[in-house]
Amino acid sequence: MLRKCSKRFTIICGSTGIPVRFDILYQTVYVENEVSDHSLTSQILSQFPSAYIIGCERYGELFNRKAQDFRLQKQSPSLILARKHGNLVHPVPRGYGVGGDHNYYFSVMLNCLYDCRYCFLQGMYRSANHVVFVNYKEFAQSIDDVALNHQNKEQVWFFSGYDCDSLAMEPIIGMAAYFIDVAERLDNAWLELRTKSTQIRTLLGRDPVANVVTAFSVTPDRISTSLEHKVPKLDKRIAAMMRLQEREWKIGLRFDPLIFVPDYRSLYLDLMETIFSSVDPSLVHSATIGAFRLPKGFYRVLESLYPDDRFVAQPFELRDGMVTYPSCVESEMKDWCCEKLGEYMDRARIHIDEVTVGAD
Amino acid sequence: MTAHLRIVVAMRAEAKPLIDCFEMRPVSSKVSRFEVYENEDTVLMVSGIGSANARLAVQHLARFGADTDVAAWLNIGVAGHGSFEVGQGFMANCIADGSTGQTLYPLFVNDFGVPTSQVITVHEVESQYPLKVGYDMEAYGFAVSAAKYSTFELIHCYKIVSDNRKKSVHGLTLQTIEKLISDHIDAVVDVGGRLAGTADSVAHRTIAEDPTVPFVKKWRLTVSEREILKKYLNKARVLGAEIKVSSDLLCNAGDASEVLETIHNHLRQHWHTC
Repeated sequence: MLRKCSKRFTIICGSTGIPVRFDILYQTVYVENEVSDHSLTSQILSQFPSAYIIGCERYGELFNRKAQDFRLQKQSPSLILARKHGNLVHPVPRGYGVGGDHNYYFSVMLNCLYDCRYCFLQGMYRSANHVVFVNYKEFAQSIDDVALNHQNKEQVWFFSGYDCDSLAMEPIIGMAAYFIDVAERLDNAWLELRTKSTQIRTLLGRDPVANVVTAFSVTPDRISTSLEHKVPKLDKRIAAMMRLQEREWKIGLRFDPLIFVPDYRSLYLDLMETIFSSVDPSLVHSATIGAFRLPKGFYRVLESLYPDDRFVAQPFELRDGMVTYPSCVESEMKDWCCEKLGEYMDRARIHIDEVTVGAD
Repeated sequence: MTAHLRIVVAMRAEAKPLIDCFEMRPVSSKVSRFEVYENEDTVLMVSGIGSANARLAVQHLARFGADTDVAAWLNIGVAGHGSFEVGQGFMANCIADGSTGQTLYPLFVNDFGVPTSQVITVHEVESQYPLKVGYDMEAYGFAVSAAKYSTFELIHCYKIVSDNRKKSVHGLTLQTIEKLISDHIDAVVDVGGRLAGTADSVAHRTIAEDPTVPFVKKWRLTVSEREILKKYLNKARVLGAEIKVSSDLLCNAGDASEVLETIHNHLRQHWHTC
């Protein structure tokens, strides 16, 4: 063990056990040479004047490579600004959605500010650094193209917040400000901003847009405190929901993932009562319910990343390639939550997610 | 599980100030051509000049300590630079192999508080400095080899500018090199300490002991059964449902599959309670 000694390397640690926390969000920003002159790159970099700026050819040179430590990066992530090539808009996995005719997701960001122990992103990438794709214009063009391909008043949904919580980064990356404009000009498109954040200033600063839904992922306070690290407190998120409703923005509720604890009924009942004592359920666009589930491979990564974590150590079952709760527990939780939620909202607005995973 | 710092330098002139400062003693070896020095927590190797030597030195240095130890790796030395002044210390933020163009990125999870720069590892001394980057002869070989044993958050290069467009590399003496390193000893101590701290945090998260040992003495387990048992026992420990080989729970277990099934069923009753 390294010891404190004038003649030795003295271990330098912060109070969290990780050496030195930064007082800025990003100490290091990597910039692909291709986007170094992009206006959004300049805008983002101007917010980190003391960060080290390091050029690279392609973000893949340093993101998701071997010999990287996800947990160390999660403690002090770097930012990578890049251009996304290839397909920019993807069909969602089967079962994901809120009743639209066609469902797609797009990710202007990879990885997340928050650190939720159940999140699939932990098993998806070897890196925890944040990648932001600054070529919004190309994403917008792809969204336009996809929406125009679906005619005859078919409703096309575009989900943001699948590989990240992009709204949480709104003050830095301005994603919502840009893509709300994109959604507003499309007659048959809907935009969902799925989030655990309270970054709603962009929305409050403009008139509501009818085809945009800000969908808040919620878990009971006790579970959130235990598993959702760095996430705003539930009361702050509920306050954000209220303010959006007051300004006539559509909001959604995502009880996803449902987390089992022996007293889950009282916790989720309390959660619903807390939410609906502030939020008008008749104005909630939709609610979704889905139990915790992770692809087997992602869960294996999680086990190796967090061998001492109580949530990860639980006796989950493997079913159809997904690690999840025993089927009796899962269906009981989902049925019970659906029934209780049905006391506040009509059943047509409640959607049960059977298969898929998403970040927020 | 312990954390160690492993340092590679190219020349003895670079090593001497470090050996003196940290009171390292030489390690004798009949099988190695490299000079090695150590104290309780740090091992230093003089690799000789060149990327291939640095690569071999890392391979050799990796044998020090137990397999399960977590090591931070630091390459320290002088370098030329296309824009920095002589005497400037910096850390490599991107290391390119001058002959192939391949790149590696040491990753920063510490605020080292020193400037950073790209480094190009060249095979012959660079005296023209065409780019505003550092030029050295070891960093790429060091980093590519260290990545076999550690992660890029724990692999870094601290370089001190010894020559540039204004001051030729050809006038560089061993005494000058030794002084440049001596002048930066405080910065090296700080960088090494931060790296060691990070390695220590990684070392603390790994389970040191194999909990299956007493079980293997009582029941015959295949390799895969032992891996499953190890996972179950760790989960039981984390969930506060610790199982000992002498537990009543296992008194009727006749073979390995019954042991695993019994523990699995036992675990199913233990859910996270927040």
